[in-house]
Amino acid sequence: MNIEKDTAQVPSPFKGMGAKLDAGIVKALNKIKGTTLATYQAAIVRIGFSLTCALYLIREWPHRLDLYGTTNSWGFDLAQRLNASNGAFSVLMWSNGRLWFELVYHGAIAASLLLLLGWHTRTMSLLFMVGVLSLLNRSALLGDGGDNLMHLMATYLVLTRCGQVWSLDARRRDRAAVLGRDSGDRARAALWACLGAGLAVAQATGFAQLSLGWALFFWGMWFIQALWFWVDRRRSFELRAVLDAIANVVHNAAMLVIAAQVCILYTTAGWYKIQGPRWQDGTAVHYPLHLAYFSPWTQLSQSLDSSSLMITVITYGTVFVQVAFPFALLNRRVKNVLLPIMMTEHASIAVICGLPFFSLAMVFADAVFLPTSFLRWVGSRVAAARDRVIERVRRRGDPQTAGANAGA
Amino acid sequence: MEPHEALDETLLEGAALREPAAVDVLPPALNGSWSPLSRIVIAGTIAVVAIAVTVHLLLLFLYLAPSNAVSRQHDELVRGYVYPEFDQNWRLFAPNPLQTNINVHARAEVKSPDGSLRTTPWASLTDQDIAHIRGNPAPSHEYQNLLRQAWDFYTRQHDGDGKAIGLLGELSETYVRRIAAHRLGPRLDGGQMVKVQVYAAYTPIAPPKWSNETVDPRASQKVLAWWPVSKEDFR
Repeated sequence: MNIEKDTAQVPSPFKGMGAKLDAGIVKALNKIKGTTLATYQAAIVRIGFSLTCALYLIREWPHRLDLYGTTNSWGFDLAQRLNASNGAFSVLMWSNGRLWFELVYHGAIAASLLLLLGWHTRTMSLLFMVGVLSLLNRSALLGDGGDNLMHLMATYLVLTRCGQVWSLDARRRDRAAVLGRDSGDRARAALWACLGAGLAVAQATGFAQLSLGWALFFWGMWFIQALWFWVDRRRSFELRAVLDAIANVVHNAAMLVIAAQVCILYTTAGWYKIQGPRWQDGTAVHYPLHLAYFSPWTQLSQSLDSSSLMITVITYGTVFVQVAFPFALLNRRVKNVLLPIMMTEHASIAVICGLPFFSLAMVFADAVFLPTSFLRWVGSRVAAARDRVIERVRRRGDPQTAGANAGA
Repeated sequence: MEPHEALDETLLEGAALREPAAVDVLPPALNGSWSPLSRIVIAGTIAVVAIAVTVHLLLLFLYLAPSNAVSRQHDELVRGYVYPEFDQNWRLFAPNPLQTNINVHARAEVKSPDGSLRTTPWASLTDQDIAHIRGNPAPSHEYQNLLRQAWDFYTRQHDGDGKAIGLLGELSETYVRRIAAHRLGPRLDGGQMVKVQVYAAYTPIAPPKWSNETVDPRASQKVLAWWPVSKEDFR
């Protein structure tokens, strides 16, 4: 019969699929263990969230005692009862003393800034997480979506190798490759010893009230660091390669989780909006513009609200973009069109609703999907601008060395 | 690297630039030149990490999705995992944006040095917040979130009859009482605050002119009972 002939002539689409699949799996496995993927994306998330956190803590500096400290309406007793019920981690629950609070608050600012610069990035990312979780879990009811996102990203960042590029670590590694000796070893060892001793003393004196899980986590991180020291000293290439492979696997998984987390965020935001009558009839955006808490510039909010076309387009556009986002990632071009739209929307929210830190966090979460070529271009422009500034400062200080600066 | 792979390419591009130093010694592929122990350790890590990622994302999904057969069945596991460190809520302005302006007021009962009691007039705590937010490009959480979210927490942790629900209900009462007490007292009008009362006015936001929606424009109120204020509240 004709049909049989036809089927005989068409080659099976499944031909050779088994072998291809095998080869693909092997290739993928070697990639996730052999390479640190998305190094620039990891770096931009690191820089973005540490910057957001530092700016936020500096902005709230005059309000710090009312928000997280000793004059907090969410008193120490209330926080103790809530955190005892849900097991939230906060070093601020170890003591209600003013000195301890100031130490933690300013320590969190310092950790944010050092993580931003990428100075001993892994250790700083751990301290950054401790700082962020401690402050946010001290006043669990204070935070908005931006704080929530910062909380999550601070946790995920600990598992990434986010200092491979755009960091003091990377600069030191490059120099060490030329000089043959890593100048950061001393600081690394000192940090490791101090933090270990600090934690041991805090636990031994009963000051640190750590759950078993957290104690295992911190001491685990400490021992892993010790393992790296030991392997570096022994100059065992294979052990070093195994540690590298494990660090890569964990990093790549954490980057996947960060990307998935952003998708989950937009998916939830979008799909729940679809179910709301106000988003269906295109009027939803009208309401926040009239919420007193989110209109610092009433003239601006009202002028935006005066156009029915504008409100309808923004309402539908928001839902469309949020629902479409995870699917748009399947296509590079569509994704690269959608990203700037979302970033622009967040920038507008920053001004119109008076939510700059929320918006900053969202923009840097989006940034995990920026193409590497774009990130490297931005990086080179920033580096060039930095070199120009340095050169100008030098020239002003000492006219004879002008022009001696070699661009990187 | 294939240029047509959208997401993959974005995430992989940076990879080729910086190979680990160990590549000089061992081939990047896990073949016979790696010792069996190394290969087992790496394979084990990949398996554990793959499971961890899957479980993490699955539990997050179940936590955020509307209640369904699977999430109801594993409610304890899901909440136990997500709380408190992975807790998140992305229903921002969804399913509907907040369509009401909530204005929280407070007044106090003050005991003068001569022992007489006096009730102060109502003061709008929300108006104080708004005064700080207006014209401020970066409003502090102290004015934008503190009272607003405390009141939201209070109403979520109380049932229709105004009875506290469990521990959180009790905590939310103390929290709102202290916010009111801290804003007004402890000393005012030359006396000591002994009681505080809170009420909230709910003013619906009128729908846009072009909408067919009709909303009762009248404001409603929720008035709470007087709460005694103790020294404990000012510690």
